[in-house]
This record gives sequence, C-alpha cells and structure tokens, in this order.
Amino acid sequence: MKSKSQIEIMGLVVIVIIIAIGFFSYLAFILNTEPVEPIVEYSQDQLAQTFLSSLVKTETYCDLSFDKVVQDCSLEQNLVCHGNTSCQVVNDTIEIILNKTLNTWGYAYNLTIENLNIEYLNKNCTAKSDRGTQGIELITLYGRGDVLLTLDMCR
Amino acid sequence: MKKSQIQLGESTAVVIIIIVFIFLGLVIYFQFWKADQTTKNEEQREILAIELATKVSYLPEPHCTFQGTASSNCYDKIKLEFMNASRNNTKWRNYYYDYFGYAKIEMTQVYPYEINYILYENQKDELSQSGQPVFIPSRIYNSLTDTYAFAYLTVTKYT
Repeated sequence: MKSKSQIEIMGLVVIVIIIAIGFFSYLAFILNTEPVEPIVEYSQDQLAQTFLSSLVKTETYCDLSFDKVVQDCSLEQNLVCHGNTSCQVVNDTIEIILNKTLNTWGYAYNLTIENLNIEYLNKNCTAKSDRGTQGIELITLYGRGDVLLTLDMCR
Repeated sequence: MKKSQIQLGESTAVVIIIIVFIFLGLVIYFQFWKADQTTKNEEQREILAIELATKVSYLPEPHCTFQGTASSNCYDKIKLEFMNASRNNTKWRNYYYDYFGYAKIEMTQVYPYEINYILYENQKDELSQSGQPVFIPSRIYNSLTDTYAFAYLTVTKYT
C-alpha cells in the first residue's frame, strides 16, 4: 500500500515537471524572438538611396552642384573655391551634411566615393555588418568613366 | 475509516497543489503576455508613423514640378514657404486632418544654410509621440536660382 501511494505521488510529480518544462520552453521561445522595429528597418531600407539622390544635386558653396564638383575632383582639379580645391569642397560638403543628419540621428553607416578614395564610417559599419538596402549613385565623367557613390546603412 | 480519510486528504492536497500551480502559471503567462502586447502596440504605432511618412512623401502639393510633371523626392521652396505660412489656418488644418490626423510634418534644410518649414502641425496635449520620428532625406528646389539644397523631412505621429 505504501508503494502504491508513492507511485501515485511520483506520477503526479512527473506530470507537474512535464507541464513546467513545456511552459518554460514556450517562454524561452517568446523571449528569444527578436523584437521588430519598423521605423529602424524602414529607415535602413529607404534612407540610403534618398540620401544619395538628394546629395548629388545639392548646390555647394562654390555655386556648383555636388556632382559637378565631384567631376572636377576626379578629373582636372581645376576648381579653386574660397581657397579650397574641388576635393576639399567634396569633403567639406559631405561632412557638414553627415553631421547634421545621419550622425545626429545616430545611424551606423558607410559612405564611399570609390574613385576618390573617400570613405566615411560611423559606429563600426563594416563589410561584415548586417546591412539594409544599399544606396547607389553614379556620376558620369563623360566618356572617362563614372564615379560610384555608395551608402550602406548598418543594423 | 482512518485509511479512507487519509486517502481523501491526499487527493484533496493533490488537487489544491495542482490548482495553485495552474494559478501561478497563469499569472506568469499573463505578465509576459502584457509585455508582449505593449511591444506590439509600440510596433503598431511605428507602422502608423511610417504610413504617414509614405503619404507625405507622395503628397503632390509641395513637390517640384517640371513641365507639369512632379519630381520625386524634391520639394519646391516657394510652395514650402506657402505651406509654412498657412499651417495655422483652421481651414488648412481641418483639410489635412483627414489625411494626417494628429501629427507634425516639417522640412529642415541643412545645406548650404539652415532653415525650417513646418508644413502641418496638429497635436492634442494628452497624446504622446509615437516612438521616434521618421526622417526622409530630400532636396529643396529654388526655382528663382535653379539650385537645390539638401534637406530632410521629419514626420512625427501623435497617438
């Protein structure tokens, strides 16, 4: 009789343990699911392209658009504007805009202008980082190639 | 009699323990469910903000037009100035309330110089901002000088 009641109690204990394991497994599954941040994902997918397409047409302090200044920096480098070369104007313009936008908003990014060896990084956004949709703009050099601008937003 | 009383006592104790465990489990589950619902509500508010930002970026009124065609991601400076000046007009606000609800939409030019335009603002005191605002880089076209400035649209939704 003793062993019968012990067996019953053991059975109940096993049932309680199985229910507890199942419950905590469910909780672990819920807690491990990454939260979705719609605004962050939207920004990382849309922002790169809109940023670059706005940048290339922006008027610089040399009374020339950004793409024209990049063209000069890539080719003859004849332009001198307020004592600065075209390449300095390109860097100045990008720095000012980045400081007032992406840096202020706290985004991790990697902006490159390949032909000019210009690269701006924020918050360790490297090739190995998880990235959103890349933004691309091409500035033509009229038969002498193209200048490729790329912007990657990292997660 | 004693034996049956013991057995009855055992069964009652078991039932009580099971009920206590079920109750504790329900309490813990409810706490996690509540936290999950809060996260989902936050997510939903951010989705509303994104929907609003998309509507605003396709709004034809402030866009640049060239030979009758609206240009994407480009805003006309003169139209922005007009919208900024009209934003406190009741008719204006009521007209756009159907599209935007309680929100703030502003265009901030950052280069070559800074200037801010508020295109729409309608906020009730008891409403809170839904998460972080949505930023959309754009350009502002000055038709008088035929030049572009770098700017960004900030869309803040209140819920």
